[in-house]
Amino acid sequence: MLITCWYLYISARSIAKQYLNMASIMQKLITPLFSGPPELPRNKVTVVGVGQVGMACAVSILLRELTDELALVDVMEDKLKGEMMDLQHGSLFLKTPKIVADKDYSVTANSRIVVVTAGVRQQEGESRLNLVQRNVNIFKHIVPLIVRYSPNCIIIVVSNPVDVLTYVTWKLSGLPKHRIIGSGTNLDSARFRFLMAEKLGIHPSSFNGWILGEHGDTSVPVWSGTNVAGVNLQTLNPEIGTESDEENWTETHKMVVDSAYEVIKLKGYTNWAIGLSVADLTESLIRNMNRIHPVSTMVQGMYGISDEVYLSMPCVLNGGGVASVVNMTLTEDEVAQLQESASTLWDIQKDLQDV
Amino acid sequence: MSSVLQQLISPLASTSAEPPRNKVTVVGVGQVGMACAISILLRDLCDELALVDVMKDRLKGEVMDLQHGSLFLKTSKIVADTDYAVTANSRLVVVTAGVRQQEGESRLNLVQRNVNVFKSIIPQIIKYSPNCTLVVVSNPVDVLTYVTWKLSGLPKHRVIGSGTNLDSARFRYMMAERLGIHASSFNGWVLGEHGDTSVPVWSGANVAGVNLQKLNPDIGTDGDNEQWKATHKAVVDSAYEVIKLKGYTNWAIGLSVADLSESIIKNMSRVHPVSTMVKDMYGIGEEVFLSLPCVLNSTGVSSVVNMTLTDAEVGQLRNSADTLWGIQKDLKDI
Repeated sequence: MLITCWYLYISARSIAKQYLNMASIMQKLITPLFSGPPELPRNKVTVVGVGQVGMACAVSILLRELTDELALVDVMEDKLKGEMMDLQHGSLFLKTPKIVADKDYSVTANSRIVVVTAGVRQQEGESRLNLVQRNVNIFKHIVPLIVRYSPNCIIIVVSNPVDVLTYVTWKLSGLPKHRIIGSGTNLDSARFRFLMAEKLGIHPSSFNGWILGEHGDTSVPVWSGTNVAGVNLQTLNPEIGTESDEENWTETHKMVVDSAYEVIKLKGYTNWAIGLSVADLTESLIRNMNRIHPVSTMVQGMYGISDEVYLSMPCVLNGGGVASVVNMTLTEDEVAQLQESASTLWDIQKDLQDV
Repeated sequence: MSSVLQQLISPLASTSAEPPRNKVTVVGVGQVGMACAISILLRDLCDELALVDVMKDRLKGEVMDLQHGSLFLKTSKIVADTDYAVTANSRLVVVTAGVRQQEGESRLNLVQRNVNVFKSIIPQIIKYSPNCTLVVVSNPVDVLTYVTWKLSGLPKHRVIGSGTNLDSARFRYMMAERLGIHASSFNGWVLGEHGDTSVPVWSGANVAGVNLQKLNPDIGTDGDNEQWKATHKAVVDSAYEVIKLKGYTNWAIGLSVADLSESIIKNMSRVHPVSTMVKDMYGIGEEVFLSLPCVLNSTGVSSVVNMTLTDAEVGQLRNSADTLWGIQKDLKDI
């Protein structure tokens, strides 16, 4: 009886001792001061699509320290998880403490900015209209989900053909037009400024030049506005951008148009430049900067365009989205090019089902 | 008939262009190399970036894509070529080139194949940048850092392996997640051989100077009921897991290499766990490279921090050294 009691005493003591030591490191180390629900993110960015473009956008946004939470969405679950983990493993070197991913869009809730890079690529021999219709079907699924979870967000559409898909996104989202932006000719202009600046031996940021209108083959370089330190290049060379120009400056714009195809031919895709340009747009939006960027916006009523189409214009971007559009002084020829682009785009858009 | 350029700009200085002061070269434009490149560019670390590879088209495509982003960057010269002349005058050269392990291939065979690749790369790097610091990323990194050191003829403080810098970053992230804090506020070091046999130094793990082992003396052992050891295991497994999910890892290693580059280029003397020549430390008698806390600045590895390790931890380092020497002694032509 005494021995049983003794054993009971010993075990009780050892259990008590274990219990006292069972306070975890967490409990011993850290005393919470505040125990409410976690704060909502203030500058959350979602990237839809974790292909090469989406991930380049993600890492550029992370390295520019623009966001306090980054969410990734895609349909390919393994790839999505792998990309999220790889970014999380770099957390020590970043200032974005929350990086999440899921194929379920609830993970995107409360985003300020949503970058859409999802979509299918053109198959060989496929018509643009067919490509667009296939992408419309994808966007029909994506866009309502984005808006459901982030009704106050600004959407940046990157997927191609970007002007049409920005229109599609606008229609499907029900959001006001100032909150839907197409990456448009932001990249074309960046390439233009790089190539022109190289010829002049200066940094691209010191060369001012705008490419507007339809992103791609029929973009419009506004030669009349090109300048360095306010010195207008067309004043120095009135032939600039024409076929009769001895210096053949128009070749530079052609290089801009060709450069995407060239990079794709060489490495299979482009991603770094578009990623950097999207981060640049994101910065203006998140930091409420009112900087002007050439991005795709709804241009009905401008330059005699009567259809609801998206084309790139110099837009003032801030925390509300597209705050305003700069009215360009364009030549008749440039206006005609814009009107023609508008017709081409409307031709495609009018035949789209379910938008 | 003067050109726009002549009308617009009057040169003041007619000297030739200044040589770069902070040039970085990345050898290998695969996913890892490009992640290193974009991280270095976005951290504004260099005034010139050079890329080298054997795959001409891919190389040209990558350099064009980066150049097209120049408007948004502060690195005014981005160049690439299959010819190493393009790498001349680099301060820092990041080596990500090499072949990957084939299924069923022995480590020794993989290493020998990579030795052959490095034999063509390393002398060229040195020829054009005799004063550079080399950061080796290619795996198996500890062996290849040794190989690079031998092939380069550089003093040992100029040849660094990325080593357990990434393992430690993952460790700090995962431990910090469990404690609800940021990775940079959790101090913990993973040393030794990069990979499966890395050594988490539990005795040093701390937050704000509070030593975790004092709070839980079982930490890192099998008998620990909080199972902290599982966190180190997760670090070891994480590379395999990411590779299984997306085919490769690149972002984390890219960011970690940019972090090392920053210390070297900015002469910061920060301490990083990187692979360095450890002969005569901890009773190791052979010329092997293992990760230890190294003070990094513009000379490269200016010094090594002497850790207080347990006998078991020293034993693990010695085992790693033996394994590495076992592979290295049979390598040909270095």
